[in-house]
Amino acid sequence: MTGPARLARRLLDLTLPVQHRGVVLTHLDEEYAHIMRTESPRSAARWYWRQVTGSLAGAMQLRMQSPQPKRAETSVGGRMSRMFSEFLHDARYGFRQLRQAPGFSIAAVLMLAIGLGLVAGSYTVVNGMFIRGWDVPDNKRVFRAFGDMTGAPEGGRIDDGLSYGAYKHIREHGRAADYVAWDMENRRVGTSQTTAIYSNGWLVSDNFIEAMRIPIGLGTSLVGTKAGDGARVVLTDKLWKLAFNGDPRVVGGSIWVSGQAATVVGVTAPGFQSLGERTIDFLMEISASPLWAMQGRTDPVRDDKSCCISIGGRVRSGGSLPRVHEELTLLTSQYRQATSQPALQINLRDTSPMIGDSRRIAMTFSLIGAAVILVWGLTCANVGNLFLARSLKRGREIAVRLALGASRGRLVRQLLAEGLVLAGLAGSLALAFAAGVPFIIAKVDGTAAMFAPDLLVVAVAVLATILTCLLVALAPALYSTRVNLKGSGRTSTASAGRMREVILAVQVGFAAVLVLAAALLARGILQSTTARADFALQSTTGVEFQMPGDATDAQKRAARLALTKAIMDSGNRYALAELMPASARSAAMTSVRLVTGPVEYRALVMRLTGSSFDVLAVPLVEGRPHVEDPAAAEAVINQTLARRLWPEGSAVGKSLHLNFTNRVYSIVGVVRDAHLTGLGEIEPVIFTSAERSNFGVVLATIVPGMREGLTALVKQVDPKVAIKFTPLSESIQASLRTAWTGAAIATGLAVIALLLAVIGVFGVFSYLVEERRREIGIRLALGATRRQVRTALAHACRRPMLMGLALGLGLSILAGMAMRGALFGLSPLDPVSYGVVAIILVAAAVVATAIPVRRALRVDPAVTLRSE
Amino acid sequence: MGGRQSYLGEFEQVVLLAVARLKADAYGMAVRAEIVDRTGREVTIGAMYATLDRLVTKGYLRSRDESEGGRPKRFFAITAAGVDALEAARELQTRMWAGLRLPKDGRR
Repeated sequence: MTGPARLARRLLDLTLPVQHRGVVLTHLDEEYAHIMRTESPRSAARWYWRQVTGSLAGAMQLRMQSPQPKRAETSVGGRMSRMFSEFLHDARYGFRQLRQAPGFSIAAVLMLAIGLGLVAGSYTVVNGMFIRGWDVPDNKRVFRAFGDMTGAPEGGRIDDGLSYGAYKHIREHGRAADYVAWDMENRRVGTSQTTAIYSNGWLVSDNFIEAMRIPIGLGTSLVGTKAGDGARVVLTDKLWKLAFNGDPRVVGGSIWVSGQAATVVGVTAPGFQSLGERTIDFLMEISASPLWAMQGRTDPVRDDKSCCISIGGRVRSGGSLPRVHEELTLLTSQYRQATSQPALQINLRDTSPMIGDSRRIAMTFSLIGAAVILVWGLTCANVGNLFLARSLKRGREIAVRLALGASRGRLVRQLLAEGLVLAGLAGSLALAFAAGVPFIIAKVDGTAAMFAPDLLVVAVAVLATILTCLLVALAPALYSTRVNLKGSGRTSTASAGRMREVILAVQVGFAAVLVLAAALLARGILQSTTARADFALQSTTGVEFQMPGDATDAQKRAARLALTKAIMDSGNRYALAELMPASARSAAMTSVRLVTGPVEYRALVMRLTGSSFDVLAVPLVEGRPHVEDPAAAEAVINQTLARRLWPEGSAVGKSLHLNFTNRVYSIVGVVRDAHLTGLGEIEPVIFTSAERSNFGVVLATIVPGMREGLTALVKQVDPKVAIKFTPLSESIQASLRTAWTGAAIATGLAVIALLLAVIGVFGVFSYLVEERRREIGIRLALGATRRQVRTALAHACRRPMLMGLALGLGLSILAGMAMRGALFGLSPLDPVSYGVVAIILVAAAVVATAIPVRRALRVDPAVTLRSE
Repeated sequence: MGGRQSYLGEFEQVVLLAVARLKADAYGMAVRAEIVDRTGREVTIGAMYATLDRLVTKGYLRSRDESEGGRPKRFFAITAAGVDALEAARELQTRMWAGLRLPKDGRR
């Protein structure tokens, strides 16, 4: 039995009475085994959990209906059983106590649910993005293989990995696993060009579907497809319904895939739509890849010695991963020697998503995670304060019970059980929220399945719930049971007061750091467009052609050629680019390599005409712009790339291999670094030309009459084409969308944290006013002014507030350093941000203390003195 | 009708009927499958066994434990009292429905 079923089984095992245990669990196991034969492991686990959680009430009924056999009290089992019974009794008692204080209970549960919900929700996302493997049966036996070359210098890597040719050799000779290959290509798919939709495709080996045990709902899989059979494809159920209306006649028929015909051989079962982080709309047999190969671009199947495709597989029964590793190393080595290529080091990995070069994403999630933990800490601190106050009020009850012989440990366990009931209710709400995360993400992205909570998420939520219970209830329980039986029967108020001060300081500190983080992020984004406008951002506009919807690809290409020719021949200052500079997608990621060696360096490529540097006001620091004719194979690079490749000496005149086009270029110029690809850190960029038909954007300087002139020109050449003007100052906002999302999340967390801190300060101040009501009455009776009373109250809170601010300042400086990369050049010690945060915190403190202070000032000295 | 008669609850009737239908094959898994197939209603194992145990306590069912390959299985059979209880429940339904015509739109 696998993991989740074991845990659930144990839970039911503990709850069932002994005379029914064997029968009920046997029944459950038998049904589970039946379900496992027909459904996926995840469905079976979900069924098991549903049965167990639904059966707990029945199990409790059985326990109450059945007489319990007496166990020896001294046995371990007897003691465990007694403790479990006491715990159930304490939990029922705790539940009754909480029902008697509905206001406190609801407030506490909601507050804890916020903290735990954020923890469970964010962990669900992290689990889906970074930890969880492919959702295929028995995914522990599925692996991915990587062939790496070592020996690359700092900042570079030797990108020569496993090729399709190597895969064919491995597939022919390998025995330890069912080896598969895949590559990803997006295509437009439909019954015809006009109805085609953009789809995520996987080019896979013919045995992929069988090896990964992807269920087929209609037709067959790709098995047996050979090179020369033409393009054969299996659609996912989602694409089949979306693009083909769920028509079963499409199986066996021909469909349109980006200009080529493909035969549909099958449709997957409903529910299958992704592997890991990538959505899949269709699976195409990989040998058909050359049909779509673009001139000047590497095709992994046609150029089968070139890097790279993805290789992996499923370990066969009787095999093992070490055996697979050994076999892959041997077979790859044989192939590489036969093709005179250098040796590769083979590494095997599981199918969890690779962080790869997304360290920035991992850093972002780490920061969000830290913020979430702070908010969770704040909720625990708030509820802990409430718990402390409530526990102290029950001092007399606790004293009586201690006097009657109850042990302190027993009372602490009882108070902890109350905390566990609260935390448990909040944890259930949090898990329900985590279960809703896939639906929220499905609205934004299609890869929702990978975010469904699994055992790991449940375990994190349970662990967080238990920690919450301990943080919230343990210390108050220990304090409140430290009763002086010989004295007044009260606990020491001094120690309770100190504890309250610590809690308050923590709340103020955590709130301060979260508010500052949000302020720094927002300020960084706001000042980025001015601080980093190192090119003609405000005075350049991008012009895009909008072709008629019924135009074919050939017609669109012809129209673009005619339009760009007319525009460039018009004599005005224009430039052409493939993508809009300074937008969310302004360049393509690729790698470059010196022709003298194998080391590759990550770079961005922007394809545009040489006149772009003039229009964008990005000066050349060396050499000249490249010519427009792509056949000349000229390129310009930015200073960052020049420094990386040729730290000593000039880059002009050198040669560079560009992976994007698989060609060697001659470097004719170096431009000054500019934020053409986004307002973050400057990336290494290479600029080349392309075929005229590839240029989709015209860059023009904004001058009077420019719009009208261009509109008239386009209408003259092709009246059916519309044009859209997008100033670069607007398009750059799209590139900041992710940053604004991050700032919005940080602001949301900061608002929650501030609210919690305000509630916490309000609570402490209210308690303080209540505690010192008599003193305030006496002071007022003796002639103290209201201002003096206000000052005295503020003085009482001085220490924890100062401690909190000091803690907040320290954490803020650390947070600022950690977030430096996301601040668009803003200093982490930006005084404006710190000033704004100080004002916000002071305003929050005034709001939090306003009502308690007003209550204090309304104290009637006469009433207070009479009540003595 | 003298004395206070205890009538079967809705789910108790369903369970009793399932056991009656299955005759000699009425063990836990089969009873649950019978209920799910006939009612289309998802029934948790714990709730079903709690009801079976209650019916045994009331004397409407008797149970016997057997072992199959070392795994315990509990078979149930309806008693005469169980049959009487089912018939009483059916008679009660018949008496309550007698002569009643429910208008489709819910009005009298």
